Amino acid sequence: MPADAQLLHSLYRDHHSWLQGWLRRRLGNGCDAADLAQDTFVRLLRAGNAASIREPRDYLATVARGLMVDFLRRRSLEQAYLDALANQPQAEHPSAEQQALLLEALVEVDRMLGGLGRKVREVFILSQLDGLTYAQITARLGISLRSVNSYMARAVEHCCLLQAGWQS
Amino acid sequence: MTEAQRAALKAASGWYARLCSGHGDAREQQAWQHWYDADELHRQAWQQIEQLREQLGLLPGPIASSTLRGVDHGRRRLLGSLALVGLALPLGWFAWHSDTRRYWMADYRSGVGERRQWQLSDGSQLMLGTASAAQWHVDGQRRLLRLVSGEALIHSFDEARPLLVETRHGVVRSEGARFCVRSDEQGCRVAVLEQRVEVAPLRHLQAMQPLLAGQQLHFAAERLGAPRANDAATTAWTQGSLIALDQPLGEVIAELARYRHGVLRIDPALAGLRVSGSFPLVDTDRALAALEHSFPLRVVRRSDYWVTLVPKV
Repeated sequence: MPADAQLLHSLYRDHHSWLQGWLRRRLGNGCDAADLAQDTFVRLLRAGNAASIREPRDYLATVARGLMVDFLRRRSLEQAYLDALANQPQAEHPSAEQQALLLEALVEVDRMLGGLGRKVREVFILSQLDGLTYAQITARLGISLRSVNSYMARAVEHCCLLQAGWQS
Repeated sequence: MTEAQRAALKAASGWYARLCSGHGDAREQQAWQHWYDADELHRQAWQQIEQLREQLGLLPGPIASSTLRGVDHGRRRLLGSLALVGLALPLGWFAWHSDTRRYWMADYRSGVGERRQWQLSDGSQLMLGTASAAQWHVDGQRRLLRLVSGEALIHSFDEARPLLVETRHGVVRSEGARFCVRSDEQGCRVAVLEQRVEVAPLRHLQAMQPLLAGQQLHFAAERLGAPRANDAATTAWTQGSLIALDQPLGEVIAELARYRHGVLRIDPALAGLRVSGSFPLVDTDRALAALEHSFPLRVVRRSDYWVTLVPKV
């Protein structure tokens, strides 16, 4: 086995069940913990930096914590999505596959909007997803046209930077 | 990203914000065109904006906006409320939902009642049984097939990199073997048809156990079962049939239910009947008719999606 694979193998052997237990205590759910533990190691596999890891458990916990936050984010997004869907007529519900793809797209947009302030985010959603004009937005949020304009510019720039991978 | 690129993106964002106001006029449009034509960097920056628009265009407005608005997640709040989240939500519901997501996001998948076949990028063959899904990852050192749900027949192409099949219960390692893996909530079953594999449950990955051609075993994350011999029933699904060898009817029905949409129930009074036979999986209605024919039971249909087997009186 090549050295890197050997290293990863021993990381897996020595720390996998510890990591899974760590996740289970935090998530209160064995299946999700098992999945996230696997995801953590897959992340490690793809990063290919096993050799540079000094404190394996600290490192694994850091990676796992990030994945856990993503997971929970997705989960609350799923919940919000289902709530939104419940308010739609049954006939307009997308198929399971469409729903899954839609959720992926939503997760992506939600991630992009994540770093923005509440007002900026709201302006962006009202304009880009609800299709409101700026005049309608100023009326709804009680802010000036000038603010709407500058919030929009800020949100768009922020999303583009993330999208292009120029900023994480 | 250079300073100039960054500046161009800032300008592009400003332009986009102005054009979205809903009160633009022809003069503004012209001014934008002038800016756009002036520099290659401007055009590149606008490309980014177009991409963002495209992505947003995928979302159905009203559902997307109320979803994004309804979700509230500060990082600290998320981590802080973990214990609560675990307790407050209907148990199992989210596990089910994230499974559904994993299923739809998988590289390979088959529908209920379906059997599908692919050649993987390394030359290995993959067949998925009913309602199954798998993800595939290859790099310089290993080939990894993650069986998200259901069952698979794998004929791994013989090469230096091991092929690992991973389920939530553990790992199966092979080089050139042909074998079946089936994973559900309770555990995982591996049956080897050609050559040999090594199996390790999730909690004891260091203890890889060999499993030889003609053998199968069941394992869960905690422990490995004892190997036993394959029989005709083991791989019948790969040929589109279900073979029962002196099996309780309850088990046979549970198996048939995997191939049907909707609910298939059996009266507990019937579950213990011993059944032997071969049933077609492509047409489970025919299988039910065959059972009705040879056992003291009746198939009651409330709809095609709600079928119950009750004792004949």
